[in-house]
Amino acid sequence: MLCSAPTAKSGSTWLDRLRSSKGIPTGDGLDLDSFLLTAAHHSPRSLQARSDTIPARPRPTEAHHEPPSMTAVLAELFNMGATLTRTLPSKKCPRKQTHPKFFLANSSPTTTAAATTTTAAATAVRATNSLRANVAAEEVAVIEEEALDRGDDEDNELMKGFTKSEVTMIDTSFPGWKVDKLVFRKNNIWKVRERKHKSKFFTKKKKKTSDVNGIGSSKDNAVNMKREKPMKDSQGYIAHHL
Amino acid sequence: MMGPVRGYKKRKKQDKKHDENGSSASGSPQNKEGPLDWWHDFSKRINGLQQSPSKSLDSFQAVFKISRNTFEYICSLVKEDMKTKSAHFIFTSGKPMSLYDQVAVALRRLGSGDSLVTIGDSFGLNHSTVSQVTWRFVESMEERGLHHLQWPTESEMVAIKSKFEQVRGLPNCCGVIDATHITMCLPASEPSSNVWLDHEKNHSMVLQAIVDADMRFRDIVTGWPGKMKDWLVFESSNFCKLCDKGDRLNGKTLLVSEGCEIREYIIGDLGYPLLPYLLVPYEGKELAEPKANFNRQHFATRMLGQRALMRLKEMWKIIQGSMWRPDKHRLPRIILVCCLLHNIVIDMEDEVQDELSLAHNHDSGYHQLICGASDAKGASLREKLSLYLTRILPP
Repeated sequence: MLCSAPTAKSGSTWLDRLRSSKGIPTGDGLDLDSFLLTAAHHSPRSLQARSDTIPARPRPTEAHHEPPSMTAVLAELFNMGATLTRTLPSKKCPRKQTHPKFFLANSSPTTTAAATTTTAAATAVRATNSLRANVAAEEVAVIEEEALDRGDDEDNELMKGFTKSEVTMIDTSFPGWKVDKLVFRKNNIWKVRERKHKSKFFTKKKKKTSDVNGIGSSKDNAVNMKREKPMKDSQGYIAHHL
Repeated sequence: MMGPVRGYKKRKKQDKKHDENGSSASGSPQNKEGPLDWWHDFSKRINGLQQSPSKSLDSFQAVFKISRNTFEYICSLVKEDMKTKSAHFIFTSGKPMSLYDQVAVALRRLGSGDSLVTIGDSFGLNHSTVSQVTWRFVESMEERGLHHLQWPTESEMVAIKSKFEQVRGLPNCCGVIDATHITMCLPASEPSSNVWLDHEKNHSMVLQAIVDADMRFRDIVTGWPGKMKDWLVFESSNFCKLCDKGDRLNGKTLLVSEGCEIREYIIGDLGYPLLPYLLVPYEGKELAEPKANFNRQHFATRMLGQRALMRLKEMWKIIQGSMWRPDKHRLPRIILVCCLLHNIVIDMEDEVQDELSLAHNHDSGYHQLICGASDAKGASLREKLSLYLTRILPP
């Protein structure tokens, strides 16, 4: 019979074969406790495994291992396909993060190579403005007066994430003392540009205005025509704008 | 500039009837009136329309906060612009507005800060006329009155420096820089409103001013959103660029002791950086005597800047309160004209400025922000000055 042939050859039970395959002494006078203790300390495979794991896990609690408890060993023994090395707690320790996240260099106070690079880049940007070298980092803002020789597409790409506001600036030290600007802001970063005027729009509005009213009209007047409409506030008063 | 006033044609017909009956003067004879006669009629009219008797508008200065002399001067500045097609502007009675009427309405609007409706009711005008007349005045003033706000000439600067030294002993000081917030009501729902939200959670526009020892504005920058800190407004100003290039505050240095020269500079609070030409006080409480003394003199001199801004807001109340959804392109121009009017009152030596009771703070509710940036040359100049002021340096 196929089944009885191996049994006859070895002359041992399946349990003996299993024990011998695992390095456990066979026989009737088996002192399981003493064996397990010696096996845990002398198995070359388990030692190798431990020596590998120690440098990889710097946590001091994992650097040395207590002999495994009897309950744990018995549980492992009944898991028939298991090896002793796999029973070690160091191997069973779960990963710190089941879903690892990206490490943001500038969000952590610890200095890393990435963080240093980011800071260096930010410093380079800030260096464009000499006055604020000592200003606290959270208050740093950058103002750049930039030329308008870029194309619209490139401009839009650079200003992604910035909020745009149109402002009329009065600066009496400026020869023209009044200038229209575009202000782009993202958190504490400010960028300022000259406002492009669409001459077609103004020309059209001008013509229309002067035709209707016969009043000399400037560019600003043409724009402000739209805003002339009085607005009522919650108390029913007309808006304070002129 | 503006759309036709509703009912204008109808009123024009009525006006013609008035002329025919001889009961009302047309535009041209009105303009020939002197301000004295004009005020006699004008005060009668506004007091007749005045609903609350508690508000006495019987004195010229109570209404306009300036003397008649200054009023006449302002009228002469804007005469040409305001008279152009002035027939468009008429009272609700149908009477055309004279030059004085127009300037009076505009000054009242800027000075009181009352709403268009309130001004319109008190002067017998449509609110849109008040708006249009005021705007025409602002446009004219910013062109015709700009010479009242200029950086001092070399000879003027000599006098300014001497006056500053008389105030609290700061030698070679050319001005005081300060900034204030012009607050406004903006809809919080609009994403664009966020940029105007300053560090005190008000929607505001920044006004930066450099004043001389007579509290006259010598340089202003306005239009920047309230979110921008004082030092950023300064850095973006042309004044800062000119100073960096050595084109401003580049006058004579003052030899205060052997080998100790003091260059021209302005002073400002801790919201500004310490620069070779801009001195801020020492930070900290327990300071050594020369530094503490410097801070005291510095503070006392800096009060001129604070008082100038207080007076500006007190006299021209349109920029004192929270403006209801102002046109943000017009507001800087209104601010400029208020600054020009402030300077004209000083230039005309108008006595009204001495009678004004000032508030304690031009920017109440705003905390001092600290820039913290410092330049080595600035620190050295400040050190020299603090030693000079405590007479440690031999004179």
